Amino acid sequence: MRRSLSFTTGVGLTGSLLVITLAGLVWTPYPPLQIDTQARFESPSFAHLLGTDQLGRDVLSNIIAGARTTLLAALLATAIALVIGTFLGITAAASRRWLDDAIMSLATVFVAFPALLLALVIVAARGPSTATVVLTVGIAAGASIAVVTRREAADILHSPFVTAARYSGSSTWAIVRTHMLRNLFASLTVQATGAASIAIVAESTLSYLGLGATPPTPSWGRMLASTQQYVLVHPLLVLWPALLISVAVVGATLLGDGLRERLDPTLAT
Amino acid sequence: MNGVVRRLALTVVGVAISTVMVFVLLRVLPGDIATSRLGVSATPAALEQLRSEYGFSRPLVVQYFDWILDALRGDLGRSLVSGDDIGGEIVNRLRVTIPLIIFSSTIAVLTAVIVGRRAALRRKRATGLVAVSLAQVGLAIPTFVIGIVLILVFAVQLRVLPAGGFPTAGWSTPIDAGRSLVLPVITLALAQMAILVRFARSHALDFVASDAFRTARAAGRTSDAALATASRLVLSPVLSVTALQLSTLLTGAVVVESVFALPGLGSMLVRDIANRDVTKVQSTLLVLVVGIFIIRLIVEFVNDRLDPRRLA
Repeated sequence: MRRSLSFTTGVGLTGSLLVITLAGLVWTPYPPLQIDTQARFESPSFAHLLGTDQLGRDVLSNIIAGARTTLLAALLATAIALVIGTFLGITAAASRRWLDDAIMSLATVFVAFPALLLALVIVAARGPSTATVVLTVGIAAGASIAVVTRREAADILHSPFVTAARYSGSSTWAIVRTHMLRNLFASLTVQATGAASIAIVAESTLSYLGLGATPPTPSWGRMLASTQQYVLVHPLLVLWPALLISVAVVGATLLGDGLRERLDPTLAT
Repeated sequence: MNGVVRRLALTVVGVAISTVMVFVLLRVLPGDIATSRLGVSATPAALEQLRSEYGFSRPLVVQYFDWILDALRGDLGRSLVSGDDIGGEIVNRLRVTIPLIIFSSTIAVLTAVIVGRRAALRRKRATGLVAVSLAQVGLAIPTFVIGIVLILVFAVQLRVLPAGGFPTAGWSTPIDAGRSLVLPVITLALAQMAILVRFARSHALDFVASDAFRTARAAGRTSDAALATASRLVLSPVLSVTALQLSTLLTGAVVVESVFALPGLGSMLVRDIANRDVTKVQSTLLVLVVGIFIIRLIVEFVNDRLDPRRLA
């Protein structure tokens, strides 16, 4: 098998973030919200590896705690998207024409509407919260997964081994149960990484705009927004969250590209 | 001419569906708007006053058509928070947003066509690969992070451009106003460019593989010259994608205006969303939706001129 640079980099970046997040569940160097007015704007030192912010909070601890918010939002949104997308996609492919058309036109409307814009409108109606972001992105990404899954599921339903199973007496439900999910696995894995990167962008962007995670939840987007006014004097404070957000998104994207190359034999050229 | 009528009709239908969607999402889903504005502890009298002032107790269908008919007459209603006229502020703020969108889209489209052509001709060489992978990474990084990195480089390190803000005198001080738009325009252009480069490259690759290109090469033209004749074939799909990506461009403008503290329509929208100013968000979205459909219409007509085969 060809060694893929994007796969290795993607696994590396995403893996390290997961490790940081898991470690942050049990240990951070300081409590992330601990304010120390004696130690504002400290430069990186052995006591504070990444320095302290405008309220004297330890930046490293907040980065680690922020990873939790972002990755949890991404995981939940991806799970919702996978459930919605797989269910609607397979149902549409296995159903009669009218139900198929109804599901697909609904999904197409959501695909045409960018997730971020949808989230903005829903936040305007319901107020800012991470739950809103997770739900909106889950639904929007679920719609695009449904469209792709429907096409692949239809291909599987028309493949010779399914015809063989049908002739030997299997019901549609038995075919879906035994053949469908394992054949959709490759495509769903790749799409899950896409949904995850959309979720990371949406969560951090909305938190940055003050329309996502509410204080005091530590979040990379909020860290960026609150330190940006000091950018001319303390540029490092802005750099860390910006770097971490980029690592998270690029990691998920490269992981998706790498998985696509590995799992889809038609792309191996 | 038939095509013109059909497109206008489609535009009107599209605007109608979008406004219904905005209205349903903002006014029907959240439940009682007066309670959500004043809080659960508000007195019944205060709630009733707000409802009668803005006509919220009338049937939703009546409210929807009132909103649309007033908008057609140029009246976008009053803000739920300040009570000010919405239309006036939107016009003011468009003075920042329209130049931001026009300059960044122009730069993005032209760069995409040039880079895409280069990348197609050098597809097996390092420059082609670099252009494509840069576009790939650019596609992934969120717009506000790109903006902040540009601030770090050009405002903090090089100190050549302002880190944000807009002169209070506005366009009457054109040099200051222009300087404060440079970084926002570049940020928004980069955000759009990523996906456009991929399209431009794939369409340029199609042309490089075509008989027309081989004939031109055989007749003695250089690859660059042969591809130059096909510029409009590359430009046309790039414009189409730009039109399809307009709502993404607008969310990009929302983000960029907030990063650079520009007094445009996008930063106004963010503030109104945070304030739950439902009437203002609703009318701002109406303006944006109509704008999106008008630009799409213009792009369609421009594309007909660029690639007359579409009409056949």
